[in-house]
Amino acid sequence: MNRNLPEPLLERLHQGDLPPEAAEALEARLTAEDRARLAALSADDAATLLTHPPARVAAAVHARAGRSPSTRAWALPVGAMGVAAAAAALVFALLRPTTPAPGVLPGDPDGPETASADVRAKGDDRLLVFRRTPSAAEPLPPGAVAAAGDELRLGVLLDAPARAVIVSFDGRGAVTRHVPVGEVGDPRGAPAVLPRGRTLLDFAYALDDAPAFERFVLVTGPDVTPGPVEAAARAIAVAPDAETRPLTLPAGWRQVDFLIRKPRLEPKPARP
Amino acid sequence: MTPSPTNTPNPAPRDPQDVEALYRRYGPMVLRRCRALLRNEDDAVDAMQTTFVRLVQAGDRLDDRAPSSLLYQMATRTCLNVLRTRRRHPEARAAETDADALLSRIAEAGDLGARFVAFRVLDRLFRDTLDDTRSLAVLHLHDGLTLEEVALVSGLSVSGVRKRLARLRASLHELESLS
Repeated sequence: MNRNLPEPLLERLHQGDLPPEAAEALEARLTAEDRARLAALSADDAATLLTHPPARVAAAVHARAGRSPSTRAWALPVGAMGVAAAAAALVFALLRPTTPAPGVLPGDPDGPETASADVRAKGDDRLLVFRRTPSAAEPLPPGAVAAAGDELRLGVLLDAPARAVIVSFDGRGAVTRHVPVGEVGDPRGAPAVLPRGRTLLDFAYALDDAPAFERFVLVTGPDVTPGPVEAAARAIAVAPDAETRPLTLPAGWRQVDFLIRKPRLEPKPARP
Repeated sequence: MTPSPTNTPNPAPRDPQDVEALYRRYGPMVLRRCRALLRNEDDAVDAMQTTFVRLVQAGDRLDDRAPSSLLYQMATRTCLNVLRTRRRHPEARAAETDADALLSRIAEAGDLGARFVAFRVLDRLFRDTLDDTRSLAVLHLHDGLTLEEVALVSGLSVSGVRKRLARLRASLHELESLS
């Protein structure tokens, strides 16, 4: 009686890249159970690509490949494991990270690009911001108004693979690092290398009640590191023109920003 | 769409920087391999990513083997490293099945070598051939492939597989007799 084909051989047959004579020999050995296992592999392929979308995995791999092995734990997370681990690892002072709900936010990187959410940078780099809604998500235009509790998700659209840092600061002057993952000032924050095309971060953020604005800044360049970007953000975060003033960065670093405005607080009625 | 038992897919992507195309084609296979060896979903997803990270970092050093063969072995090696790290925790050792113990023994071959660095010949042997040999050992001892089947999956000759495994066995026996 033929034994079932061991898993590694079944995989090679499934991949279809064996020499023809070897493939024929293996096919001749297939039992009914093997054929069912082969069909199951095809189904599992589809399920895996749905659960772990290619563009998202590719972004995470490129981000990790740009880091030293000792900083692996700070890689952009993917999937349920990554989101949970990252949410547990990060302490954001004023932006509260939340887990994006699959299928609710436009987090499917294979989905259509949404031009109205984009901001043109020097070159064609873009910063994308989406807000979760009860039924789906909406791309936000620059300057959109978002309130405390709104859940936002960030993405970038790059012309070419680039080292990137993303930070934000708010109306209280608090600076938050988004890429690479880590707290502001964390020396382990080696720059992430993000791939060409659209990359959506695996985080959603709930806006807190900081007043006036939240300004996100994407900085790219061949030798970008988080430290100078964070320092530049801190330097202008409390300035009167913090909503508009460019960060002071080393030559050759490119920046693009995205401003979210907070609702104006209604003045309390005067006591009679 | 009804899956076909003998796929004839599009030409294989070969550019190690084109992670998206490589993952789309081979990612599910890599993840299945990691799941089978690690039996922990989070660890498997992480190991799957690590396998592609190593592929990217290998750059143009990819050889001419079929990408599926290369990635399958890279995934195996990645998982062995995870198992080796995992086994340093006593609670993980206590929960091991026989199959786990066999994998761990293969995975720890490198640690044995490192413990006897003064044993220069073996040290050199491990340094040169260990990674590949360990993944061959998993195919043969864990997955139950014959030497001929290991050769088919790995792209090596049967005699090459036999020699490597014999050398690994001899080295392990020798090292264990010293411990």
